[in-house]
Amino acid sequence: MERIKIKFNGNEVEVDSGKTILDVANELGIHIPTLCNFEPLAPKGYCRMCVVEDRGALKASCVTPVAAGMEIQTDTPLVKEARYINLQLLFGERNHYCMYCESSGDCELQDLGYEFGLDHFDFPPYERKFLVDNSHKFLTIDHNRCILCRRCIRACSELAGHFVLGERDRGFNTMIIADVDVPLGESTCTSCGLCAQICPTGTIKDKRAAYLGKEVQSDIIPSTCDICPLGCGINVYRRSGSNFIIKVYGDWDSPINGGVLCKLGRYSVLYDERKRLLASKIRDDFGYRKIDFDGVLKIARSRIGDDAVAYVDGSLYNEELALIKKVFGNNVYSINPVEPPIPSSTDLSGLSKAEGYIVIGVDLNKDYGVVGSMIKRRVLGEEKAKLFVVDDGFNSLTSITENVFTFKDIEQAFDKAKGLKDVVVVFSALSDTIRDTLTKRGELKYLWLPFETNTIGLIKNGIKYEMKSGKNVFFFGKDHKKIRERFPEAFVICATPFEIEETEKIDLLIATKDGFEREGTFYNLEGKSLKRNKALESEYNVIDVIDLLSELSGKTKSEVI
Amino acid sequence: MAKKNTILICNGAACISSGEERIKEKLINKLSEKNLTEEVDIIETGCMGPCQFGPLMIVYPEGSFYIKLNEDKIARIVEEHLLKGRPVKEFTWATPESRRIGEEKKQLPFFEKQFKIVLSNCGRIDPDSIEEYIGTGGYEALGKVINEMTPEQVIDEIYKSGLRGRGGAGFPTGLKWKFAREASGNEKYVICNGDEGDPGAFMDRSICEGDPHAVIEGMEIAGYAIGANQGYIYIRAEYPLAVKRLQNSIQQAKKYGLLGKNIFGSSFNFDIEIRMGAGAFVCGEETALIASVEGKRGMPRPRPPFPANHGLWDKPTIINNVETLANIRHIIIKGSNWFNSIGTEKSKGTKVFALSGKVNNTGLVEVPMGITIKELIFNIGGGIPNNKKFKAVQIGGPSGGCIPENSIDVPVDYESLTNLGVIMGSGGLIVLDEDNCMVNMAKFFLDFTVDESCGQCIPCRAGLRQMYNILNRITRGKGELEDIDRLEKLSNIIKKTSLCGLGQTAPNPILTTLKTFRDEYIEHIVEKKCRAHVCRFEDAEVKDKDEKILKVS
Repeated sequence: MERIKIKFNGNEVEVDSGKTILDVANELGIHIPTLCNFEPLAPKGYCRMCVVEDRGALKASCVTPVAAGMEIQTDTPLVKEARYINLQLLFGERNHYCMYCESSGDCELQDLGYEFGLDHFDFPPYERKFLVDNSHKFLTIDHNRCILCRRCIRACSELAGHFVLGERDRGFNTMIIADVDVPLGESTCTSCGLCAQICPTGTIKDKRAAYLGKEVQSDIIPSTCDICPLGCGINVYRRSGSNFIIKVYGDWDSPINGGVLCKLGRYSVLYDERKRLLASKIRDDFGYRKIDFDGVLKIARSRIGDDAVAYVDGSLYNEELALIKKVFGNNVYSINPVEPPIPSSTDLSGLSKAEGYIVIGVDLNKDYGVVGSMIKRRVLGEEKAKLFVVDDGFNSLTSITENVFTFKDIEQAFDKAKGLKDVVVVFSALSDTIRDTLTKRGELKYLWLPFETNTIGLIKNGIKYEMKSGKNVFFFGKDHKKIRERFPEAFVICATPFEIEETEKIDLLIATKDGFEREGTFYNLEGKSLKRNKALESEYNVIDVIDLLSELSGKTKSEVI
Repeated sequence: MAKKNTILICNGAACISSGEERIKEKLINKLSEKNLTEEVDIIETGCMGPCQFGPLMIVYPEGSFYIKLNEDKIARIVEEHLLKGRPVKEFTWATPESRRIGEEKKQLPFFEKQFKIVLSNCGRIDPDSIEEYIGTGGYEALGKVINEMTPEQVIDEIYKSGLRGRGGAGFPTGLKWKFAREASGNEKYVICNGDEGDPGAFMDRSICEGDPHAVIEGMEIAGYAIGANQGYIYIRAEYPLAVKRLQNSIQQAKKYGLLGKNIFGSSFNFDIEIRMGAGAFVCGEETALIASVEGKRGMPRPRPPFPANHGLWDKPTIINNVETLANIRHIIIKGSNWFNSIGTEKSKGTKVFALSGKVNNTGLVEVPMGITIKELIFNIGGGIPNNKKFKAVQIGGPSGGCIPENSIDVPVDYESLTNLGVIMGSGGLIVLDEDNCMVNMAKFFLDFTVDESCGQCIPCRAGLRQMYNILNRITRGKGELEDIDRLEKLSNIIKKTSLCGLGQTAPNPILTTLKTFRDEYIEHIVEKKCRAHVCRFEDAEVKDKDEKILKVS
């Protein structure tokens, strides 16, 4: 990188030649207002708020690279006037009456209005009225608030890779549209919600978060999504002084997802309608009766011994697994499969460099959505990577590629992928035949998507997928389906947060914490240990598995964590 | 057997629309009726220039220039001129002075002050015939370049000639080529910009229709010079005839080994594809054009990086206007010194203009740089019809501005026009007389740019819109004097902060009229009077933005 000399507000500085004026200003700590520019997106220079003066000419600092001999001024009367007028033009274009906007207080346009001391409309505010697109389950688009910065379009394509949002018409008639101008709810939108997270005004909003609280009224808790084994970085917005969550945003700084989330991570955690177990219950001849922590402890203790086995699933964190191992010794098994059909030979950084992808049997628009984003943005974007989908059932990925094969024709997919330099096979569960076919292909790289959040943790703890019976069967986790069927004779103890049909047949039900109430670490699919922080206090009479287990193991909580 | 007469019949789009095909059919019928078919050669040519008088034809060897033809006239011309050898003088184009002098085309004042380089073949040869093009020295320049010159020599020759981009901005062509030559990369591209979108401009269309091979030859030389093997002609889909003729010419040139692989038996390969634009004015801007060729939405992006380094598919690319490319072969054959001797100190060669508006001879003209606006309008254009008073001339389309009467002695060159606050533009000249309202004219062009703004950057998208609202108010008698300040303030910021050339030049029509016709604005505002009786104040109760909004939604 070449070093060049420029003048910045009168001072000579030496900078790297590849940088933009805005980069340099940020390094020097000089404030330049921006609006359409947003760090992970490629700068476009639409809003012209960041103009600076260079020897008489105005330049958009976000897109102009520094060049030798520049004399940048960030605060001249001309710069101020240009920014002011362009801001006035923005306010006059559509409906920007802040007091009627839900985003008032959380709006970058409004912030600029205060920064520039706007106290009136210079231009008659535009009275065009647009319909509000309320067709989507989680999002609403109010075009009246739109400033056409196109951050949503860029995020939808550059980052999330869905390429759903686009624009229609030109000039002041430009409209943000989904697909070929269909209501968002009827479009191919996968509900990743990144557009709402990146929208600087009140145009695209999370429906659920509306009117629950502004950013300043929130405690922002950095955490990790535990829906799938990817472990996306999230920021949980909890209303300050309250015990409810306003919204979940992707963490822009996360090395895993870089801000992108999927429908599950952003919305399903807040829209969860499964029935919680409100208290621990013991079954006797008359049905269930509630039981407190001490009662639970007493029964559990009496059931632990050589004839006790513990089953776990991948929703448990490492700390919990360690304690379970301590209490049950080697009598701990996984209720779900854990072993990879083929171990991964690449990681997420390898995934984001590949030229071709063979996706086998997973619909990445539904599950592992951020992996889907990583692949789609390279397939549909500039890189023009090739995507091959191998699946027998419905797979929504088939709409973006011509290369679709059944399991039977998997060899054809390999043939077509031949010649591509770097091909990653993405899969979760595989049949034996497919696995055997795959292992013969040495040239391919494999990325296994573990079945559950902490499947890797189970493997690392040596917990196997086996069927062992005992007189007393303990189960820890969420996926406790058919456990009674498997062990019809045993005394079954389930520590779980949800009620399902099976619940009626379990001998002791221990209501545990769930979701944002829990904390702990887990291993993601790359084997990185990620920390999940607690964001909510539980409002039910539930038990922390850690508390229970540390009592059972005879240690205090501080000793085990 | 030598033919007795040769007839050149204009087959430009303007003449076709005024009935050229019917005339030609009649002529052929009439000739066979009189058994003259063997003795008369009929050649359909590109645009001859004076489009207003179409359909046109010239009968050689006399050089009788017949205008405004109809079927009756054809019958008499065949009878009198072709059969008996007596030109029908009353049907020829003759102004009172030239009627005496004779029929020769060159002696007409319309042609007298013109200097045809680019248009030298337009109206002289059949554009659908590569043989005729070769007959006029066509592809000689390409042969010379490939066989005798290194790419560096070609660039040097073009640079020394002083040729500047004819698309409007006037960037030295040789320099542009040099940058692309020096840019690293194996793949490079040549793009011919034929996206002529200005209202009232038809220079590029006429060149593509009248002399398509000259454009192709220019592109090939450019390709040789910068090291490109692929060219694209970006042309409006609204120009079907030009597209057809270009396609035909590309096929012919390929058949003759003048395009494609191993041109002139050398190792130089060059291919050309045509890309049709969908009618967005902004696609004339080079980065938007590139996006459009790539198949994306035609929207400009910030520069730098410039296309010479990061152009089509991120490869070094040069984009030259049709007229620029049509100049190349003449420079190569006749040398840079010859080209250098034409024009002014900083603006060399000629410029093609499309004359339109309130002028007697509308049409396509080519003049040496440095000719005055006055000569253009009053000598070549033949003055203002109906004894009206000349008011101003609008140059450069929606990006240009108005030159008022007191400045019409200004020479036509890049610098002089820039000093007047207007631009050379691609060559549209609209003459305005006392019946034109300058405020309304400014509004017309602003309406155009508002519609054509791509909508990316805020000053162009919303600023022009607000300016349009203000002008609309003024032309309806609802303006206030502060509006003039607002217009000036907005113009200034829009010019300085817009992302691409469209926004940066869009306020020019307003700024130039505000400078020289400020009294008309004030008249509209204070006296609610339009001296040209164009603006109507009686329906002023119509709210200003409604009209536009209803049209939109």
